[in-house]
Amino acid sequence: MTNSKQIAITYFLGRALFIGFGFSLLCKMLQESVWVSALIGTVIGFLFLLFLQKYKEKHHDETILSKIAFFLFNLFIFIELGFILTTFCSSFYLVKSPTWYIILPIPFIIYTLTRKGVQTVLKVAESLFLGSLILYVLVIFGLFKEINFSHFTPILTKSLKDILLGSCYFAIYSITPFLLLWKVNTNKNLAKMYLFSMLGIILIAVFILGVLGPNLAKIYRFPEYMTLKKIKLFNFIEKVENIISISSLLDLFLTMAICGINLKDLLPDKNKKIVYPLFLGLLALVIYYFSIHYEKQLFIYTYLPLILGGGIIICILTSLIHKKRKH
Amino acid sequence: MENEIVKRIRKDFKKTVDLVIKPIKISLLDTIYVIYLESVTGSDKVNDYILKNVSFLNFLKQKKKMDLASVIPAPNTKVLKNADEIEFYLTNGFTIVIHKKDILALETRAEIQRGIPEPTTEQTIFGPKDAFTENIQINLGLLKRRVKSKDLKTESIVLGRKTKTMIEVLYFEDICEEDLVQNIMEELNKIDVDGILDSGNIMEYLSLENKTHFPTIIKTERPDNTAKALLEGKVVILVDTSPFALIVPSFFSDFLNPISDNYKKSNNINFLKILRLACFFLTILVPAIYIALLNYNPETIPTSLLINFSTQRDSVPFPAIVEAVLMLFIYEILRESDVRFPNSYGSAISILGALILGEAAVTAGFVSPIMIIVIAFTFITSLIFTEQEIVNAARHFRILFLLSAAFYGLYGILFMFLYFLSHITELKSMGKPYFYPIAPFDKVYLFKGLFKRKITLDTKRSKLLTNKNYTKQRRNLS
Amino acid sequence: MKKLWVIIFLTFFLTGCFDYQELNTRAIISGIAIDYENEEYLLNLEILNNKKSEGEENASAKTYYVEGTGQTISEAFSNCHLKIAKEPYYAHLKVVILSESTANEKLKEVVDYFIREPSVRNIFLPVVSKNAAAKEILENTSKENPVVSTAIQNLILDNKANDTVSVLKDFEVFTEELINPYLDGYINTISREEDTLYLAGIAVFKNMKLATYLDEEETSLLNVLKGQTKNYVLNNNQSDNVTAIGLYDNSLNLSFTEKGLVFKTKHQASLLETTYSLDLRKKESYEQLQREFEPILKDKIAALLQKLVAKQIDLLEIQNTYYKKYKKTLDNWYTLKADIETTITLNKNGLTFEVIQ
Repeated sequence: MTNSKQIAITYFLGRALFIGFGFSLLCKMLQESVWVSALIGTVIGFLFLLFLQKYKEKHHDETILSKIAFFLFNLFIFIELGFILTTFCSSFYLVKSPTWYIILPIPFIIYTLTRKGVQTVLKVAESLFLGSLILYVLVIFGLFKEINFSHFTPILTKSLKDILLGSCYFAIYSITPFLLLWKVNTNKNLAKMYLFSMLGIILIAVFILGVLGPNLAKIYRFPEYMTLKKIKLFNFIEKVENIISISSLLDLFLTMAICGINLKDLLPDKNKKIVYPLFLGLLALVIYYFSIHYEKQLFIYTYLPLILGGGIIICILTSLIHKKRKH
Repeated sequence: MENEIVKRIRKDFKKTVDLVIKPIKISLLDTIYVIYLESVTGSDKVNDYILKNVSFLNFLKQKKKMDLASVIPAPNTKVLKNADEIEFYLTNGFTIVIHKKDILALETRAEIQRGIPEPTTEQTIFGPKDAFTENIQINLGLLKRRVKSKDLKTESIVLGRKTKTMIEVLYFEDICEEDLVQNIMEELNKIDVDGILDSGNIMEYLSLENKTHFPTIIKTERPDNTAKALLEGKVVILVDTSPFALIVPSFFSDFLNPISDNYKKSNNINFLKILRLACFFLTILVPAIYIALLNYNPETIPTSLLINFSTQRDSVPFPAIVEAVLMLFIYEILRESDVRFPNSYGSAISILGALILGEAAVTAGFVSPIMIIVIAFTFITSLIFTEQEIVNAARHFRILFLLSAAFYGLYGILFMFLYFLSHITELKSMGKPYFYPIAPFDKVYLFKGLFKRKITLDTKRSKLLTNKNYTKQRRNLS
Repeated sequence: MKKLWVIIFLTFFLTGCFDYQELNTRAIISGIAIDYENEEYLLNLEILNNKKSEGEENASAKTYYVEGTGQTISEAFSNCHLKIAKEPYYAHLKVVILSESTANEKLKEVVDYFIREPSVRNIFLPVVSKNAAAKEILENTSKENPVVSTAIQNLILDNKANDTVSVLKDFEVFTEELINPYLDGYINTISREEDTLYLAGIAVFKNMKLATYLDEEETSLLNVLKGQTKNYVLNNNQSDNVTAIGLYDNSLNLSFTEKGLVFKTKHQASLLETTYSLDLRKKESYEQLQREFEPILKDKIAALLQKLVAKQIDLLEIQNTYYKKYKKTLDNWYTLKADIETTITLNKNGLTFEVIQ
């Protein structure tokens, strides 16, 4: 795909899993050293993406085992993202609405985005890229004055083991959506564009730490949203966090659309026009089930990076097995 | 003893009051028949070209075969092969001269049209002020005055069984791509209909690949607009009896800006271009954002303003969404009536409109003043566009956004925006993507369509439209 | 077929929208007063009135009040909500007034409630009411200030003359100070005298309880030391000549030596009034004035420090600075010897070079 499409979709994909779960877990684990492990995690992610690109070029065959692994991986991420979306919306935007009401439009939107293949999603990402960047720059201008630099010191309060574990988690959160682009022809500049997307996330981590401080960031459920509440531009634009965090929901929708395309390709070819919408409806029901059972949410909150890391390894191993057998 | 062909013509055109058949005897056995329809031919032309010369032949008594075509001095002569073609030429203002088995058609068309008018829909202050008329030859002439090149080629086709409208497809051979022209001719050849009355009908046939409210083909009545489109590598379609020419393919950015921007300074005009793009999105989004912010997230509005709104809304019995839909409906009625009524009714209608929507409605407690401001702003931003179809498409999406904001608030605006974007990026204009300079991103056309570059830097054509001829300007830097 | 799906889809919405709420059905709450008496919370809500005012008499009826009681804060809030005819809306909350008893005994519960509640945005200003009940302060409307919470907010934010006595801090920052083990939290206090409200210094909290009050003079000095004020007036009327300078740019540097703490303060000052016969074109005049005022300031800082040490209140962030430098806790900071060095630089003198004789 062209450079402009690649950079747009990379920007949105890299940020998708951080909202809702990512920042909250990382802020609790590493209080003042969030940005240090963010930097190390970016480097780990960059190297892993380079390795992945080289691997993808040489390897083209697929077995049934790798297809099943990929299908399950996509399914899990789709349900996970739908769950994050629902939780985020019902905490801030539609507080009194029941959960099924919020989940209802999701299958319809995913269906219209994925009806005609991956090019629609790429073009939508391309058109939204500039607007998202402008909103992000506004956030930086609005929050810069509120940073309290004494929140950053002392650095490296946590042990080295904690920081490395945190950076591994960071890398897993950011790499996982790129694994979904397995079937799509990606540009060779993917790794460099990944760095650009991660720059945005590192800045968000720095702002959360600077504005809220390590003590408050630890206790909040959505620290990134709480930081946005403090934006004050030109002394009269305030209380605009509603409008600005809309752009973070865009990441979720676009990543879910790419999951949907992968799932659609792996469904059987017969009657795809009827099977695919029904399948999406079924996934909506599964998301609803997860949203109303709180204990499963807590389990996923703590163990999400491990599950995702395991998923990545399984996907790569299953594709490796075939290669070994061939040789 | 009449000619068989003449008998056939009499039978075909039985109840036609303007048919004139004039037999001229040149010898005892030889008769030349001059046939024309009085309503579409100019009688002085018939007189000058044909009758005078044919009557002159009366005295010659030449026995060898006459070459009528070279004797009669008419500028456009066609020798017809069979009698089926007579209907087409007779109704198009040609005079048919029949001598034994030779049929000759001579052009003697009457001038049933206006002079070259000023454009009514796309007015400009600084720029050329001529517009197309209903005669296709005059339109072609206006175009060729601007584009004097032998590379401008034409393909013509006649459509409509009863109207037999002449349609001409123009393009530059060394710039335009051949498969685009072939595509268009294939689509046109598929049309089999009773009548084509206006270029709007052709426009609908050519945009059948999409199911959308958005227009994908430009209708313009300015010759400078069509000349500019030809130079970019697009194809122009002229339709007889229609003063609007079609430009294919057209992209979203072409509909937003008028042609007169090209004749002004680029620094000043870029601000207006950004304003128009913002106005397009404002006219769709403003009522929806107002409803979403007021009823779902009032914290964004400052407290003192919020108390004002609350006091105003207290006196209105309807919920805000019902008020919004009602006001949009009333404004649409007002706009439609504004187009239809003749100018001589004057200011009474505007006074009535202002009364309905001004003080009286507010004082009666029917709507709140803030809703009037919001809806009036929506309509003012939609009046910026010259192309009527874009305004209609915006109206469709405006209602959708309003409903989704009423049900879901800001979240609803988000997913309706995603639907809008996925809809508009899937549209195709004759095979080319519709949302072109924005997605897929092309730097050259972005600066041509959406913004304006300094004229010395505008040196290349866009890659989507042409593969042959990229550079259009060379500048020697001394 | 497609239209059938759309119709079925739309029937879901016949049950009504859940979050859609008309603006005039929301009661916009602007200020809250929390009292605690007889083991019971007494809650007062100030709600903005959206009825049209007709005539001069009703022009000041811009707010109305609702009262409620309860054993816990949540119960008190739900008791209040029973008495409001509309849906309560907290996103425009400006001020929360705590009474002395609340600040003393129930601060933890109050802070936990407000931090956890999603509908309250934590950028309101918390204040403590001094020498008056919180309810009296909230109901103190007058013709110039029909809405009390806006008046209090303006007192703290906009009134430049009060710049020395006010502390600009919203609720979230206050909570962070309370949670941080190395800091002590403090907020403004409001007092009332004959129907006018005024700022009366700050209230200091230690271990989630009200520890002490600092009056206006001490608060101004604290603001000077923290670099948050721009016009602190320092007088010298001990001798026959009266001089006053204003300190406008202040900074404090804290360092730790073997002997103890070292406070180094630097101030930039401007000359406000004097009756000395000075020629301000010469360098010696400035040095004379500086030498005169430095001990005065040093005495004041020493007095403030003594008071803080006596109550073991760490308002100058001594423990915090130590932790950030050395990553260790300094437990006995109040036993250390403190050394103060002040430097005043007089570099503005107004419009005249000479003094009126």
